[in-house]
Amino acid sequence: MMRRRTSLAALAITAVVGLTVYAAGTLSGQSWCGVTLDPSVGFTCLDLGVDVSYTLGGVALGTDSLFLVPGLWVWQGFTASGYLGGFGIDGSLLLGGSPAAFLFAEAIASLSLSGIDFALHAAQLGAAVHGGPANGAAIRLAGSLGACDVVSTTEFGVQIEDEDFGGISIVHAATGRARHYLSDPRGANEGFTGQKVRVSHTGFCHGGEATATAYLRCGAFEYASLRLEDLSLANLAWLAVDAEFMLKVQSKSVIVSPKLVLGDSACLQLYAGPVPTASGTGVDSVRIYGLELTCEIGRVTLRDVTRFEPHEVGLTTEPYGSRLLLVREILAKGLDYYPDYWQLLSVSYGGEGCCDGTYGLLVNSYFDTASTTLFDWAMLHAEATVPLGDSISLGLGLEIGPVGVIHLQCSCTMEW
Amino acid sequence: MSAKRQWALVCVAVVALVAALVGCTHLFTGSRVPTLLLGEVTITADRGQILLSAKNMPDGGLASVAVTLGGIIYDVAKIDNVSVEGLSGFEVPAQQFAGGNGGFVLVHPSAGLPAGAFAKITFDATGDPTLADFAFSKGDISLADDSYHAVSFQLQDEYAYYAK
Repeated sequence: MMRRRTSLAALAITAVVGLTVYAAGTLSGQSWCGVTLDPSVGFTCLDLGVDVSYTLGGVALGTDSLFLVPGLWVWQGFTASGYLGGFGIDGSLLLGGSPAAFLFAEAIASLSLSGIDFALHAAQLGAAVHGGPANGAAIRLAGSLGACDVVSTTEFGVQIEDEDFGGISIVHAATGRARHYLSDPRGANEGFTGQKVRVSHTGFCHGGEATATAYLRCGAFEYASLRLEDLSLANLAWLAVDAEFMLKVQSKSVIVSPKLVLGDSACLQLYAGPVPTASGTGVDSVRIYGLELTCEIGRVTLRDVTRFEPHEVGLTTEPYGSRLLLVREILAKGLDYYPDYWQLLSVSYGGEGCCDGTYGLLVNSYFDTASTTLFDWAMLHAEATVPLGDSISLGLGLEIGPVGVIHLQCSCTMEW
Repeated sequence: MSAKRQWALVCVAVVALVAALVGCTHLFTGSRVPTLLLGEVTITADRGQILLSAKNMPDGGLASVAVTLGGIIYDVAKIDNVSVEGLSGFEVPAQQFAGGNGGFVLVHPSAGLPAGAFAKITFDATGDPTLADFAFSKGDISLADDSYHAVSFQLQDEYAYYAK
């Protein structure tokens, strides 16, 4: 009898809490599906996802899936986030589909208090992933001291993504598909594994930004760097310079990138670096690696990126921003790039569409010296997002090469 | 509960969580051995593919791979018209696949790859070939890093996922 009363009471409490929560909060979300077609072989990939947001207390839940044809369930991802005042927590969980396995979990607890942002990152990598099992934590503190912003990261087996470190990607070995997360557990036996301190100052040298970083690993000095961005002189408003000085135990490097600021809407950026003498102790000359011209006219942005040193710099793919970066940096950060294309011409256009939606169009045209087509044209990459109504938008992706369509992607996003 | 007590509890919880995570670290030790990973065969229509990936490569990353002819043996009844294609900027100066034996050379012209996919082997598939229809001989595979040093590695085909 006692057990029955307890069960009834528990049921009643659950019902009351559930109804209260249902009445107090609102349920909304977003679902999407994406289909990838390779014209040479047909239907190849299906992305499915749903994000559920519950407004009570700012809680949001989400899950997404990736299936490849024929019948390969790559993984199932789950996300949860909640905020209450200055306190927030974000969690991610990734499970393998076939074979079923725990792959990765990450939790980030953050707290803002009196101008100091505190974040605790905890992550765990599953044994089914090569490189695992591993786990650890890191504490990040960010605040301001006068005109300087200071970020301190104390690592207990986890490295956190920042400008120098690219986080962690879980890669499906058979297909190369990857999921990215901020916290990389390194799984060492020791507790404390590293300390990074970054001090940045804006308004440096006529509006520029200077950032100094020092990174110590558990047993040794890792690197120290000084990064200067958008430096300009009072009498040379049309010239701005980005520079990076990097000191490691056995090497040092300098990268200088001058930019010509051609008014408010246009900018010409030069990628260049010093060439050391044979002895390695001096500078022999300055080599120009590439050139980028950006021009904004209303809602239209035009870009021309050209590289002159194909083995030194590479053009990243569109998901990584179509940027010109050193090949060494691209590979170290695990980015994708086009090793063959020497020039990119890009046009993008975006604005407010119907029904409070936004539309966007991006067309990138790539050129390759090995191509035999007119002007060395090698590939066209196009993306478009079109809102169809209050809650539905369509996405289209297309890649065309000299031999025809390489890749076609269609997606549909519904908000409810 | 007073605000001071609440903050004290939060601090204690955070310290306890960190201590627990740090204390458990010895239970989780990931492999740091340079590894050549073979992905499972994926087949779309009648074209098969195997991705080759590197992980934990030392000294600037993986810069070259050489597989002597016969280092890869495959079942010609299921697999035909084999070729290898470089990824992540790797170039293929030489390759040969014939009569169930294969070999190739892959070189990156300017840098090394610490981790990630560096090549894919593609082929015409008959029936339903799997990775078991390929035999990779570790003794016939040589890797070198960006400083031209030979890399001692393990060949791994058991993992469906890897971290980089």
